[in-house]
Amino acid sequence: MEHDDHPFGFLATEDSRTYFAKLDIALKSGRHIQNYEPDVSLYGYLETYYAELQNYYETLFQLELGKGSQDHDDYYYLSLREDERGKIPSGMLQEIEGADIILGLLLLKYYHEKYLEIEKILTFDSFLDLLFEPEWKDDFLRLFTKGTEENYNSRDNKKLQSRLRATLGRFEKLGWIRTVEAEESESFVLMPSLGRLETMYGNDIASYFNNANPSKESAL
Amino acid sequence: MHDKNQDLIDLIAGKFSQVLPDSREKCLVVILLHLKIRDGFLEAEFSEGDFKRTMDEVEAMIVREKPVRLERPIRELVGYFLSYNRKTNTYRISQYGEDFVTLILQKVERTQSPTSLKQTFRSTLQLNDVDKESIEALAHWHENQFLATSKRTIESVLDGLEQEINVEFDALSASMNQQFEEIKPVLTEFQERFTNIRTKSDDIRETIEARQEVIETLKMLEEKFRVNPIDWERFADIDSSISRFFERIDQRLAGIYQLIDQAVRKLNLLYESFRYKRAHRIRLEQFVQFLFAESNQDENGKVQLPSLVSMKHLVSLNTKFNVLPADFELRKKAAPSIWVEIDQEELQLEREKQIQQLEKRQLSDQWTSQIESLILAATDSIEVSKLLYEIAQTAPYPEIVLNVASNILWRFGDRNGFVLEITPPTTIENSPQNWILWNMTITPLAS
Repeated sequence: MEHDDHPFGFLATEDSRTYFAKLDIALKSGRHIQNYEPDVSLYGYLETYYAELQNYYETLFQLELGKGSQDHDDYYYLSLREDERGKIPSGMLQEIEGADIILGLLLLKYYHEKYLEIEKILTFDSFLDLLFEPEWKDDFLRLFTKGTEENYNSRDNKKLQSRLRATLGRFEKLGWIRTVEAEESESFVLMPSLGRLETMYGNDIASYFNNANPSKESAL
Repeated sequence: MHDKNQDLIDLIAGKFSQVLPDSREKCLVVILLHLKIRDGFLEAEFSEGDFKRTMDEVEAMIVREKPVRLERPIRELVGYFLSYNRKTNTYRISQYGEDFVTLILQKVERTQSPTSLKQTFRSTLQLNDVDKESIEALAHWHENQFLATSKRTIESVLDGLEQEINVEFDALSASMNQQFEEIKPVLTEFQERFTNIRTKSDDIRETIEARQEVIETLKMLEEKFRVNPIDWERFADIDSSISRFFERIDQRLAGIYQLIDQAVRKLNLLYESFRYKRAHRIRLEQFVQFLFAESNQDENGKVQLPSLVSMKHLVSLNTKFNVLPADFELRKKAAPSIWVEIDQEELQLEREKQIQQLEKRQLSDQWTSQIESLILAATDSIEVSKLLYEIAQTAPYPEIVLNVASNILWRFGDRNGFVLEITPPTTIENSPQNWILWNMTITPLAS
């Protein structure tokens, strides 16, 4: 859609007056925009002006307005090429913490397990159950607690829970999960945009299977 | 209210604990006893041996290893579920036991066979001539046939369908985690199961269509009951209760159809990509396991991933407004500005005042310097107060004289080689500012 033959002419439209500022702030703060509340209007605007917005961010910010998809659900986000990271002011970048990567990929695994369910809802307690699965329970405690205090081994540990909640809070800001109202338990829905983690770490996952441990790849 | 409920729960859990069967097996034994009696394989009054045989049959049917039995489990059922006849040393199913079995069988049979719903509709929902005769008759129909039978049956069948869908979803999710030689038969089976649920739902929808007749009948009765306001009020209540019920049923049915459609759509997609998806999930799981096992915690408690995993960044510009835009809602909540409006006139006065101060300082220094030079050059006493009076004649500001007097005092008060004397004035000089200076004389000692 072109407007007034000016590459950024779309900014003068009524739609842009209504949605552009909100969308711009959301995207630049790292949010992934999906066709789910509370971003449905922004998603609609993005779909309409995708080409123009892509050009806008590429030309003025050297940022790519990416589009991902998970089980036929699309989502949009701003990204930069890692080789061009030096050109972007550090204040515009946020390094993903190691703990967040592990927890995010674990949630993504759960998302795939719940493929048939319409809403992939998880309570905070079920999240703890996932972390305390025997395959990685010991490593989880080694990595996420100092292991010096006796009560660190307890899943009720407040520090541990508050650390996990902080991660979930960051994921919610990114649009990777959405907290839902639940009377008795803290619950959240895993959003399709969690798939972004897989897009980002796809090469790392592939090299783990191909190079570091080729036998695992062939076993699949 | 809470305490009352608490008391009731305590009572059931304590004194009446055997009202609740404490094992599935015991429930099933009572049900099988009922079925055997119903089908003529067992007398209504049966022996303990019959009970034991029935218990063995249940264990065989549910393919369970025999649990460690309590001594004579029949004892625990006697009282609520079974009655004991001492004279004949036989047992029979109590009325409570019969009600319990009927409840379970109805629940299961309605779910398994929605045709019973059609029968219920035909026999209970339809309004006959007697039901239409008076508002009492209509209220009786509403109370005893609609609420007690039809409504309960419909709700129960829908509960069963929803539960069936959930069971299938769980079974399907569990199947995804298993290894299959061939996925197609598994998915086809699930597709058939969901199709069966859809067929049952169609039956229910078709059956519920019969409500139209009831609704139309009620519409025809409107005129009849409108005459008497009391009748009309009761009629309106009945009418609205039925409308609300069917609206809710429509919503629940729509929800069931949506779930089935979603399941069938997903099954089709799954069929196309099952192997890929399962392999994909397993890869992810192994990678997560690798991250857990090979990562470490640094001294700050941060998780450091293995070197194979590269650092990634997300765009994250936290926009901050130095000044909130005027039409921004938050501006109203902003703290008052720290900047104070400046009065330009006042600022000018302040500037002039500062210039005056500088001027006074400059003139004071000049006069002080001149007097100091005179004193240093003098061989006789110098009457400093006379000089000060002279300054007072010309100085634009009276403070200058005071400043100069103060400076001279400070410089010559205890200066070696000079004697400073201050005495009260004997004569009063004319002073333009109406003040009097004491006589100040400085005498060089060399003189």
